Amino acid sequence: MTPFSPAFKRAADAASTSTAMATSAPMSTPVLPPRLVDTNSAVFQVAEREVLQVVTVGHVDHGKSTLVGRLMVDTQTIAPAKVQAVRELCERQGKAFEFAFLLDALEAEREQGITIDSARSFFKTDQRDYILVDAPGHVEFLRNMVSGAARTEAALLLLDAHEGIKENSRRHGKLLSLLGVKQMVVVINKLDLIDFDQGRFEELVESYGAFLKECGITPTHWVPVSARGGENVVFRSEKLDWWQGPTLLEALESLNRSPSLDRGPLRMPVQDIYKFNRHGNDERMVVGRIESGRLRVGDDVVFSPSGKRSRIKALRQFSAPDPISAMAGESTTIVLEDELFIPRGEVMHHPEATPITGQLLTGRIFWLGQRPLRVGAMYGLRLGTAELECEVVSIPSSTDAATLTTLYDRTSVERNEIAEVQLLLTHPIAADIEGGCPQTRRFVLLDGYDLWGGGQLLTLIAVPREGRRAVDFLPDFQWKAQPAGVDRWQQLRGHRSGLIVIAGDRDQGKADLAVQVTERLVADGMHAVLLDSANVLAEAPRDTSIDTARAQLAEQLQRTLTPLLSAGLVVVVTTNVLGLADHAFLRGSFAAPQLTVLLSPDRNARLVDADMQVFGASDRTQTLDELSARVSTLVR
Amino acid sequence: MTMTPHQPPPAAAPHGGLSRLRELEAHSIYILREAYRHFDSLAMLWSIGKDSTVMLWLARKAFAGEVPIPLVHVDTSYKIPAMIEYRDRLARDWGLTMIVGANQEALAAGMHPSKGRLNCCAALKTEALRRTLDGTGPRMRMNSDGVYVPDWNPRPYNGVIVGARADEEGSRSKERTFSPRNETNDWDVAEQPPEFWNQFKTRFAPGTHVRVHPLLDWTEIDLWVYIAQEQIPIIDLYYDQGAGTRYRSLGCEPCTGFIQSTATNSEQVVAELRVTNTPERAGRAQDAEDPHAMEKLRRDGYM
Repeated sequence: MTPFSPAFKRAADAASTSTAMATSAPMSTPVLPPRLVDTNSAVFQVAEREVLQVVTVGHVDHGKSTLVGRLMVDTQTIAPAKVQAVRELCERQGKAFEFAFLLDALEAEREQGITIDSARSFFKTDQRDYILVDAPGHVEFLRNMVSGAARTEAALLLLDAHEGIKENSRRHGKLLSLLGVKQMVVVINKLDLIDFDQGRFEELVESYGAFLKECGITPTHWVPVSARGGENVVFRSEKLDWWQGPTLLEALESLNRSPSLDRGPLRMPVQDIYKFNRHGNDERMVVGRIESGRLRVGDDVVFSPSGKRSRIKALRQFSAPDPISAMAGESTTIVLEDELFIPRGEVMHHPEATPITGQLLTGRIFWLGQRPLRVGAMYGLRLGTAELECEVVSIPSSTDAATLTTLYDRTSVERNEIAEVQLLLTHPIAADIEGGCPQTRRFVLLDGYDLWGGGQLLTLIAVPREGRRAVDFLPDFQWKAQPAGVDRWQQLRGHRSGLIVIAGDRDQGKADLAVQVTERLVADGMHAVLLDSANVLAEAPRDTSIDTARAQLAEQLQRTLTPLLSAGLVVVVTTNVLGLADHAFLRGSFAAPQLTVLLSPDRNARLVDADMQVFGASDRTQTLDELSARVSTLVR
Repeated sequence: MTMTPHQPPPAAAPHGGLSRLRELEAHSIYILREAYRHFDSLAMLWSIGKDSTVMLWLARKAFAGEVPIPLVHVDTSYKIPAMIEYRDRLARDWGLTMIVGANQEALAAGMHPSKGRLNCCAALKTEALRRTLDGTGPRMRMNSDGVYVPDWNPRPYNGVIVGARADEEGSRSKERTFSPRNETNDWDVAEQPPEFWNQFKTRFAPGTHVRVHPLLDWTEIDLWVYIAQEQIPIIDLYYDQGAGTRYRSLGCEPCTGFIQSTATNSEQVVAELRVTNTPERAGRAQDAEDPHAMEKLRRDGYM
């Protein structure tokens, strides 16, 4: 072994002669009281405990912190001595004991090994640990609710028996339904303020139950409590002798963890492709998390939307023997039998259970953006691992989450509204609809750099092209195919035809790049030609306005490209005026292999479906080398 | 320290599907892979403590045994010597790209906890870290012979993977998985963007950098159960060496106390934690100086 070499000279050594450093002896007095553990005891076992994450929602002042404090105290998650100390402190100061004081005291002292803050608190029972995720306002609610990794499996919705249903109570119910929370406990608190009246309780159950039903929610339990007095939270109370149902804790303990998704169809969004050439490992590995289903070595798999097929050769696992199968939830490392080029965002599945693919998406979304979501504007969209841009085509309806008033045919979605939207994506994606894998059905929307909306996919279809063409008026027309087919041309030219699209905003130097690429391909011995969009525009039919010519550019390109590609050529095209739909149309028009290169000033621009991105500042020789290699793989 | 082939326990949980730890593991791996995908200049902080060593282990899982991300350690020069030895041994054994930074000016000027523990943390940790990450401070890189040489790459890191957990202390539970900081390293607690359904903030304005927290949902006990299950070769300062004491949280020698404990392995630590009510950082002297010390330090960039 190489001798140990310090990165920096240790100050303690350097300063051994310095008086300033002379006191750096370790702090050897134990900070903590001794606590010795009998490792032979029954506690000594490395087992895992079940954890249930529950979001607590409710109008401000409906008693959430009191309820949380009560749960922690009555389950003895907080040591009784601590509670007593705070009680005594309150008495000395002449204040009535409040759970909020207890929580404050805990936070200030950070004792008990329990973290208390506005976002999460913990309590435990014999059965399992609970994480309560708090949500003060509805914006925070949405953020906390959907934030983070652990699945929120149930909601605890708090109502004030005295004040009744508030705006937030309605909003929360609606949002919970939208977020797909399956289990909900409605806690009717402050029963002490209505004299533990059974009639009032039942009235609330009826009226709020009717509202929830409208939202499509059937609560798992309704529980009357008084958090302040502790009635029916953990312990039963004579004051609620009419109540035959569970205590709050019993209701919580009866909730189930969501069933695992491993019985569903296989869905694994491709997160990345790795090939590390270090340490002799040169395998190409497809990585991603299985969102539903199971896979085994030897399985035939398909990647959508590209439709590429292969077979699972192996699953890799560091630090343990390679597994032969994997299931929903696992982050996997896969080696395929074939070396395919699969971009991130493709979904791997079994051939018999395909997701749907398409480019025109309708979805139900909620919007938290400071700026409204507008028709005609572009937003980022992510679904699974697919990251692309989309244009808002229409907003059929939007609903105010509080009043549930619905308005139709909108031009924008305001903050905190729920809406149905139609989005045109930059390229086709694979996804699931209702009943399919939840993670490949949900998507999020980005405005600028931030995630401001999320929703569920309702439909996904291919892009329809509007308007009729001359061919529609020629009933007997039959397309005359080239006498020499793809194989013949390949034989003659040594490669297949291919379409190389250089896309990007104006003034990025696309035309120059296209010329250089074409020159390079010809130098490589390919039959490559350049088709510049400006040329095509300049040759638009007579008396066509420039706007019309631009609007019809995709069709004109298609007309020009058809004979070139069917002659087995590699065509390099530049575009800057094509819209998304045009781009999709062009891409769908040819069977020839295609490569879309996005020339952009920075990494964050992803305006078109690009197979490859070139940055303005990139080294040009290197770019051309890479392009040449990519084109060669594509057509040879 | 020897590595023995180890088969992790069955992944299945009572409800079917993955157990909690396997879910946490899979999620952390997912986050590490997202970070690796989205940042062109990414680093992982390695404090040599158990949290970031588990994170390092998870990175090896995420990248098929490789660690394609440089590991950054800030050396205050007051670290327990065994920590430095352990760091360099693992760096060599696991083929890590090891970067070490320090605030040499403050050290030359005699910075020491005796000048105020929080001042010392601010200079030797926060400031040293900031300047190591943005490339303005000195960086040392371990070369292929295991010797530290000045780093040839002064490029700032725009993505920094940190082993913070939500349950550690109050301020950390407000973190997001991908948490942006602006140019001055500030952390705006209130205006953080939401994180929906495992979609993270991976787009960012030029000049921002992002802290990535793969361990946010782990608790102290989760880590120890995982260390036991995976037999992760954690530094042995966490175990009793015969004196009836061990460290529960590692830091600088002058400011870290040990606890009375005879736990000599991860299983015994788990057993001990199951019955304790004392918080993890109770042995860290700088926390005791100011109840809001951590939130303050973190706002200024401490991890």
